[in-house]
Amino acid sequence: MASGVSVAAEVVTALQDLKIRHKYKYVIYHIAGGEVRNQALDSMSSDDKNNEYNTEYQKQRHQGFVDELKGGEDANTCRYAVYDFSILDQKEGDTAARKTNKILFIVWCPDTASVKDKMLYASSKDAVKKALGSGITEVQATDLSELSFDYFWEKAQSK
Amino acid sequence: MSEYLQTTVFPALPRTQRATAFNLGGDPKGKNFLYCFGQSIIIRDIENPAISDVYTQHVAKTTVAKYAPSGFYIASADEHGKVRIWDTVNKEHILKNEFQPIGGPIKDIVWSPDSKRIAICGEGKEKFAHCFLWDTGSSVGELMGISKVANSIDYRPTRPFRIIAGGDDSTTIFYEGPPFKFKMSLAEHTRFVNCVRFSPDGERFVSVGADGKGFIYDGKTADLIAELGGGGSNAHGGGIYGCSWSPDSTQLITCSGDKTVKLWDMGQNSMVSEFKMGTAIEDQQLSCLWQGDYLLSVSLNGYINYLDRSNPTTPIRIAKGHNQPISSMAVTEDKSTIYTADNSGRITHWDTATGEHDVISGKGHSNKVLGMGVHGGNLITSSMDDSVRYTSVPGNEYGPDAITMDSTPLGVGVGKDGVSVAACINEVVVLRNGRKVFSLPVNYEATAAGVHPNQTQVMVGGKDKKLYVYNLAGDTLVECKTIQLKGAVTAFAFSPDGRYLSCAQTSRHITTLDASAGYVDVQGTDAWMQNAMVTCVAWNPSSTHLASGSLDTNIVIWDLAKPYNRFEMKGAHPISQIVGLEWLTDNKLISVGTDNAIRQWDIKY
Repeated sequence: MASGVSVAAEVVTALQDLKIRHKYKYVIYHIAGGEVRNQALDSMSSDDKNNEYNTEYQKQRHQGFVDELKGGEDANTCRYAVYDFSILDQKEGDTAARKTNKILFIVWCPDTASVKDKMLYASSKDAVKKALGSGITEVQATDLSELSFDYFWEKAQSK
Repeated sequence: MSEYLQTTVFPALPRTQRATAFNLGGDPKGKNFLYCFGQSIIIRDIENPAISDVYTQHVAKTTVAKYAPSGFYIASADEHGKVRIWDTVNKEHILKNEFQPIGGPIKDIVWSPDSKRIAICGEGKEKFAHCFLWDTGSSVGELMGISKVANSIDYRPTRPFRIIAGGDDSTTIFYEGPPFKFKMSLAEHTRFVNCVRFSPDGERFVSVGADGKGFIYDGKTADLIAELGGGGSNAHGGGIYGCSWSPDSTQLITCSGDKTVKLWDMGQNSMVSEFKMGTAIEDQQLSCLWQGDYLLSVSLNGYINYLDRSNPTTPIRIAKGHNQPISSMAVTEDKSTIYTADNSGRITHWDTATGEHDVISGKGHSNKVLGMGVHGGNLITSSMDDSVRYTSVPGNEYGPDAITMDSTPLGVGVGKDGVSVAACINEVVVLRNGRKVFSLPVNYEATAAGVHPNQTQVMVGGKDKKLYVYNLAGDTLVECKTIQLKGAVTAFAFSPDGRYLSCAQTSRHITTLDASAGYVDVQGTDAWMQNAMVTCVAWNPSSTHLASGSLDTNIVIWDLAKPYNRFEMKGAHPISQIVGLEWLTDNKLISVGTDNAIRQWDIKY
């Protein structure tokens, strides 16, 4: 909001569908025409549902997400995303891992993006996050290592 | 056996803030209405505003209170985000439940029509609105999509249920449920949305905002029906702060910063009448409520206007009083009238028995009134604007002139025949009938003054913890005696028989001296002290008991016959200091606190 960018209603609707109806695995947002809008919606397939806590499967699935978020090989664009990330959470002292899902809010601002773009996404981040409501874990990513499956896993673990 | 019982209370006016909308709460039974002041919730009878009740169990500044549609409970909220749900029926207002749905100020509360759910909105850290069951606190859906402070929330009174919330992101969000889910956001307004309200039949809802516009939507689908007033021009010339539907859903009132309230016919979508409330900034209308046959709107200066539909130019009645903390109080000798003055310099007079009141009009003090006294038709006030005023009473207008002092008159002592003594920072001034007649420069800072009932001596308290006694010879002061005290004097009280002088002090002590025996300590009164600075003292008419009030919120009544007895009225003004005390009879006490409640007590000892 500080940047004058507003949040389109479809952004909130998409998150609601992802969070409550489990319709999407992830949703990617971008800023277009002075508004935060949906860029890509990735629907949950039946395969996804069957393999929700299959780490190998999820890693593959994650690669698809990263490729889509990055855009092309040389695309240096910033993006927001919300991601229904499933993990097996095992805290110290737990006998068995708990199957949990975390909604991650990813702010993807690659180092190679233009300064103008980075500024715009950083200053609009708050407005988006507030519109999305509570119970969402923020992940800031500026290079590929911060988009890795393990990095997300670490962020999604309860403290 | 010592007992006390509060008999009546004259309450404060709603707290207002310029250009900030707030909400009045209506009673489903049509009897009372609710508003907030300080940490209290005020329940006021709509037909006779002199009848009221004050709920004081919030620990932070209260922001909004609403009755449940069943009428049995009130939900009230404060700036810390706490919601308290309490019983309306019994006098103790038993707490039923307390929740903290968000971590910041709550702006609005609404109950579901079945009195089971509560929706709130405000300024939280992560969320701005929340809906929950009042008995368990479990949430009913998630109210997403708001990105700035939400000012107003409403719950559709008929099935299928909907929630609307509007706020500073200039959108109104529409939720379907329960459990409530984001459905759409309505972006017709260009500035803050201040108030959103469903019609009582649920068919439509209206949103009004700081852009001076109102929009009418379908209550079930949120389709835009029309702009309020047709859309040719803005509904109001200033920001609209509130709106309220008539009980039959055919009409609506809106109140605005353009100092008007407008009545609209919602069938024709046209204005029926315009209530012009004045031209000054303080006439801006910040909230309105339509309850039964009553149309209320609140001005920036806190006045509650009862609008007259048949005569839009003059309100039927205006409930006045104070919405700044009261700083001093005085009662006439015949005990018929109470005068109270506040931090803004406004002075109100109240009828002791009926609560009838009005504000003294005309150009008066422009700053906090520090001391006041009334005697023989003169109301004498000293103020931080460095002046002392004589106002003739009974009369409702200020006297023509202010007597300007060279330094701030911190206190004023009032005697007979129009004599008064002002204790200024570097002088003591004697006044007679509105004229300065003598000035004595002093090398201490005078904090309070008193005149002995037989008019021969004048007491002045100094910041140097001393009491200075002067002989009043004609109009001049001759120094007579200096007495060492324990703290600076904040107030003096002579017993009506003239024998005893009590000095309230910053050091928590109340020193009582025998004036007939050369100002020696009265035996046994050395234990007279409270838990914090004592701000006021008063002797009862038969000179047997002294009442003292303090910063510690308590009033203590001391018995001269049994000086070691301590009869304490704990939390007489909960969470607010006592600023004034006066006896009406030997068994009736009046107290005023910074909670702006003027309470009358029956005392048995």
